[in-house]
Amino acid sequence: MSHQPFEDWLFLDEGLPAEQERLLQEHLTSCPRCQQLAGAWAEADCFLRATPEAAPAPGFVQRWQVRQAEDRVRAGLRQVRMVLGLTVSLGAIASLLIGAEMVSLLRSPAELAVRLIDQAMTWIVQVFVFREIVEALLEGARAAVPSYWWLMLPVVLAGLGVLWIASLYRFALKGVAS
Amino acid sequence: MQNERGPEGSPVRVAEDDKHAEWVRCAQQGEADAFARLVEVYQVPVYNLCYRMLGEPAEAEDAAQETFLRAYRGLGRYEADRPFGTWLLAIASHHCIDHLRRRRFFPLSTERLLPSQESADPAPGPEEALALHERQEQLGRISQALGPHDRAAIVLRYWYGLSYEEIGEALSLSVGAVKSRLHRARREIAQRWLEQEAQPVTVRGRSNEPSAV
Repeated sequence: MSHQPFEDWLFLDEGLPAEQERLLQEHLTSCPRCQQLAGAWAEADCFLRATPEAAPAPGFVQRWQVRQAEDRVRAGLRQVRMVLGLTVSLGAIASLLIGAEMVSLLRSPAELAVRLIDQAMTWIVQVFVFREIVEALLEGARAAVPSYWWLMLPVVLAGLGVLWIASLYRFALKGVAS
Repeated sequence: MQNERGPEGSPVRVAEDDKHAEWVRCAQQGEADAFARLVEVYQVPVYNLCYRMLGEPAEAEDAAQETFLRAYRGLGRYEADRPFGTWLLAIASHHCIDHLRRRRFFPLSTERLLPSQESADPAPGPEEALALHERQEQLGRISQALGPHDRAAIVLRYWYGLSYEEIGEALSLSVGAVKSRLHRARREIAQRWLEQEAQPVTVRGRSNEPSAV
């Protein structure tokens, strides 16, 4: 005997059309297997609907607040560790590069002296060149930009500085999860 | 430890009113107290879902706490046009499904799977209470044997009365998939119920006569 459509109908959520309902009832009267299944489902369905909601032990909200505070501390520590890790990693890479350069230079002190003087001269020349470029730009800008813009510039720079310090404070000390 | 469901076993939903919506808005603006009030209101539905999914009070407590933490962190992503309770249940469902998937590698003992938190109402008398308790444990064991998504669909349908669309949204499934999972879960529950009816009932090492309920 084929049980397929009847088994499907037994577990449908929505009500069946009258004709299908009649066919199902006919089948159930002649098929003990489907009858047992229908009875089992009716009983289980009844218990499913009657099972009470489970509630947590008293003090759930307080426990959640404690856990939230711990989570916030953990997030802050994670962030500090990440910043420290990044700083230490970058420091280590820079130290390695500088160390390698220093080792090669320290092998011959004369060469080191020459390179230091050469580097110092290069920097001095670069400073002079930079000053000339800035002076030329300022000459051009002085004519083009109104004077009140020049007065606002330090204010804007100071504001940006304050924002920078505040964001450093926010991210380094308070963490993201607050 | 239990909240009774509505009359004749109708699913209980937390009525979402303007006050809750206001608390959600305040919580989104960073007011921790507002979110604590939401935890107070939704602790039972969220815990119940976790308990029905995981079958163990300590794990359910942990999962419910984690659900509220995730919700708190993700408040910025919550859209006000969606019921807050359904959003929370979706987070809880996903967390429990992930937990059950992980549990496959580290299964619990059979003793821990028994829903020991359920205590029968003592009013009907000791024998009837014991029989009811056994049936509830039987149902607990059967539901623990369902797949995580099937179990979640059954819990959301029977305890919260969510529509197919809401269940689909909560579990990231299509409406067709929800219907199919519910159908499969019902069939499996019925078959296992039938099989267990044929066996003598054993509760924590004690054999009892089959219940007359």
